Amino acid sequence: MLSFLNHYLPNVIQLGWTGDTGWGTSIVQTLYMTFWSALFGGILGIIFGVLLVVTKPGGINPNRYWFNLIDKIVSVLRAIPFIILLAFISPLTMLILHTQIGLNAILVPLTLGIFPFYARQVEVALESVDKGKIEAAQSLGATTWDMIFSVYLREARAELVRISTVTIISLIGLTAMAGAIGAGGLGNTAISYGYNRYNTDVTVVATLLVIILILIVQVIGDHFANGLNHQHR
Amino acid sequence: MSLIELANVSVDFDQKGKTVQAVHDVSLIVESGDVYGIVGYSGAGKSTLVRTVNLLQRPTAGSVKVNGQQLIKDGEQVISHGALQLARRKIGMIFQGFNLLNETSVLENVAFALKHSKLSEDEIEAKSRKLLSLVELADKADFYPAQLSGGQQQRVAIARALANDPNILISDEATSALDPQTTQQILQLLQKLNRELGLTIILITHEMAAVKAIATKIAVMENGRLIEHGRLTDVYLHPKQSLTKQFVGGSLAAMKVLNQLHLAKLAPDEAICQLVYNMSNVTHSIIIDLYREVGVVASMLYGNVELLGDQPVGTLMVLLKGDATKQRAALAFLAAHQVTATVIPESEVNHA
Repeated sequence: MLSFLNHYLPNVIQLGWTGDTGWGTSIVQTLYMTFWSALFGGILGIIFGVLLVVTKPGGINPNRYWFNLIDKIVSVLRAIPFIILLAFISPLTMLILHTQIGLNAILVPLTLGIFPFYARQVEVALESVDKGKIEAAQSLGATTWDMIFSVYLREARAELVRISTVTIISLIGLTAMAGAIGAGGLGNTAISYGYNRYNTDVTVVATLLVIILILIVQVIGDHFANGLNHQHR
Repeated sequence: MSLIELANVSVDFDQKGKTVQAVHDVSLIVESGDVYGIVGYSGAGKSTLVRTVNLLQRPTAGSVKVNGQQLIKDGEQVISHGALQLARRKIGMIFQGFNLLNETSVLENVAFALKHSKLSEDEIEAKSRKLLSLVELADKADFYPAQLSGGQQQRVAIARALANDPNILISDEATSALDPQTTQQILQLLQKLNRELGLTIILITHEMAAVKAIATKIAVMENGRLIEHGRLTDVYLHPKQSLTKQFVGGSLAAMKVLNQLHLAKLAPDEAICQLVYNMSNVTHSIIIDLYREVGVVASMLYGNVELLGDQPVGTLMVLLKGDATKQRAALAFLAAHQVTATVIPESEVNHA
């Protein structure tokens, strides 16, 4: 078995499992980047998405000033291509973390890159909640917090899980791009040890691992989304 | 005692720079214990009007007073956001689309309304279960709304609307999405709530049958205006506006039958006349009396008796035969005997 792998995937085996260049290390790095930026970006995205829906004209607490401000922030950040954002944001990263390189440093652009994308999807998901339900809850004297947590977020939860899945998958793509500028992870392995050294076998295996990762996320996401949906019999 | 006072309420919508007046200068008083039916065709402004009662819709002009509390004065909101939330809990509302929260159980849907009550968690659950028993759905507490039929969902919505012991219930086309049998069940439930809990009900509908079944008062809306209102029997027996006549008096059904008959062209001394009368007032046959007293022969073309609440109301379509003097005498005779007589213009009738 090992000789077979050595014969067909010599460079893959050479990288090993542990150590700085190991496969295990890069998988863990990818998961690390994905998890933390999904968490931070997710929280920011939900907050911004909720604020958009609540403050928009005709929302439950309309506020033109806040709506326009948040809307512009999200639109502008979404418009910046991620690869440019990586460079553009580095002074801010320096300010927050006192470093511009490494796994933690990359969390800043990843979070800023993903949250506007997520916020827009949260906005759409919450908008899909039937206006009648909003009205009914208001007629019961529900407070703004009730409206946000018990009506909007709760009623849209299956949709929120679905868009979270899509967002995490996009995020894994972004971590690969971050890897290309040296942040580590499977993207880094594919580019630095594969592509740049003409080790096609490394590139192929790194790509396959990313695909498997994405499929796992998709399956888990679909499972939860279906379990949370009670809209139909 | 007047529970709801709407004074000169108008609602304007801004649609692409154009102002659309959904409700125009409507004044209405609803008294405690009323079942107030508001009828009119779609787009007449019924829903918009009643939404000003709990400020789901802010009126552009006019004043709104509910439960003795001024909500809107001369188009300005005079109640704070927090006070409005409290006021809304005393005004239950049910909707055509039920509008239950689909991701929470039936029990939680009712309990949601009690979130800000003074009750403990256990008391909230107990009260929610009691409300579900009231609407005969105690066994469905742990179901999700989508697992219930439309009628059951509407009953859950009623339980939820009653959670904070409101004294007003607004029903916005609540039976319009239901089949006739389920509609009857919901209407009977509303009537029971009105009689047993003294709940004041505003019933918006485009179905006259629903109003006839349980309403005590009726208001008719057309193009954002309130064109007629009053006690159900008064409006039903003596409709003034042409739209009201279409809605009440069984005129639509009667005209349909009349047009199936393909009558021959009327002779100069003939007229078709609709008679609407309260059966409890009429002890002997008006048709025979008409012949005896006035000498006019009335041949029956159509007849129907309906219940208005508990009162039987008769509708007759007759062909009156007699010269102009006798016809006038006949109409005077009918009016004197509390029969609402309307001469149907010949142009409205199909001829053979």
